[in-house]
Amino acid sequence: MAVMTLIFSTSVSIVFFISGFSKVLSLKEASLSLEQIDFIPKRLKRITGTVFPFIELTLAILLIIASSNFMINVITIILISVFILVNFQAINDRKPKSCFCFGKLIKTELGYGGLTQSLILLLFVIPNIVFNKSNITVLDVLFSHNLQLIEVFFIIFSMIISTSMLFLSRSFVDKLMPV
Amino acid sequence: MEFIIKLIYVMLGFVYLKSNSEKIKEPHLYFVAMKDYNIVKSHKILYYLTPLLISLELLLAMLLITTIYSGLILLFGVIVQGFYIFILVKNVNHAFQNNCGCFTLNAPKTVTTSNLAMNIFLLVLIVLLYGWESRI
Repeated sequence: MAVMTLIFSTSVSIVFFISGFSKVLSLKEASLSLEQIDFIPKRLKRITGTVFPFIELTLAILLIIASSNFMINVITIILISVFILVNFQAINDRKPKSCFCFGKLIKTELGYGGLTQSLILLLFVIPNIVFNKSNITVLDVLFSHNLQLIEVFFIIFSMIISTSMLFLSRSFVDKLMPV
Repeated sequence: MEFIIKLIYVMLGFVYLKSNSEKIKEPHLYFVAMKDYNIVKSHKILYYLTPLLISLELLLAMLLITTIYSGLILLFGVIVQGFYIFILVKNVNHAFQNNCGCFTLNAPKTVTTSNLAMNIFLLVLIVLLYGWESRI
């Protein structure tokens, strides 16, 4: 079970890393993209937009090197809950809003796709809080001498599949159910 | 620290108990509200599903108040809250005419972001309390 939770948390980490890194590449646009989100106070919008990609990047790294840490999981779950609510609000308003969730790398909009992706992210983090109580990280597992090459290959393959599912679910639902 | 966790469990239990008492008082209105939410097409299934939901929620409230079986709290909490989050997401943008508006926590008359936020908060709280307790 611990390996499964590590696979899931690594997938979440990869999504955060891609999201944060793509925003860092175009930081100015990223800070402007938060203008559309209503519940952030006006004064804090710019600074939040600038700091947010770095928070995502830090969280991505921490989820790899200390995935069982309770506080890191709490921050992750809060961040994902915010993503869910932002997407839900966009659907409720019935206005298509551009998201800039993955910067210029992948063009995305707030809506059903984002909501689905965020809900899957939430589902991926919950087992990490419930089952992962040891201090083993995904790096310990991958570089463990006890594992055979085929097992390492299987773990990496599972990570790629679950991460791809996170991205594909978003684009699939976005095309199927536009706001 | 353990005392704080138990205290939050009990407080959460009373939130569920309050929400559940309204459903026990007016089970038919709850059935009508669930029918509007369009979860299952067959009324026959809904006749069994509605009392099952009420019982599950009552069981969850009792488990939370007694605070003994945290594993069961997690299991039933995730099932109940997961179900309510699912029906809220499924019915986003909907306003229901037959809904009495008396089940504001899980089956509101109009589905708004704050309803979803509250239900996500409850789910996250149950999961985090279990995670916190098991790490002490």
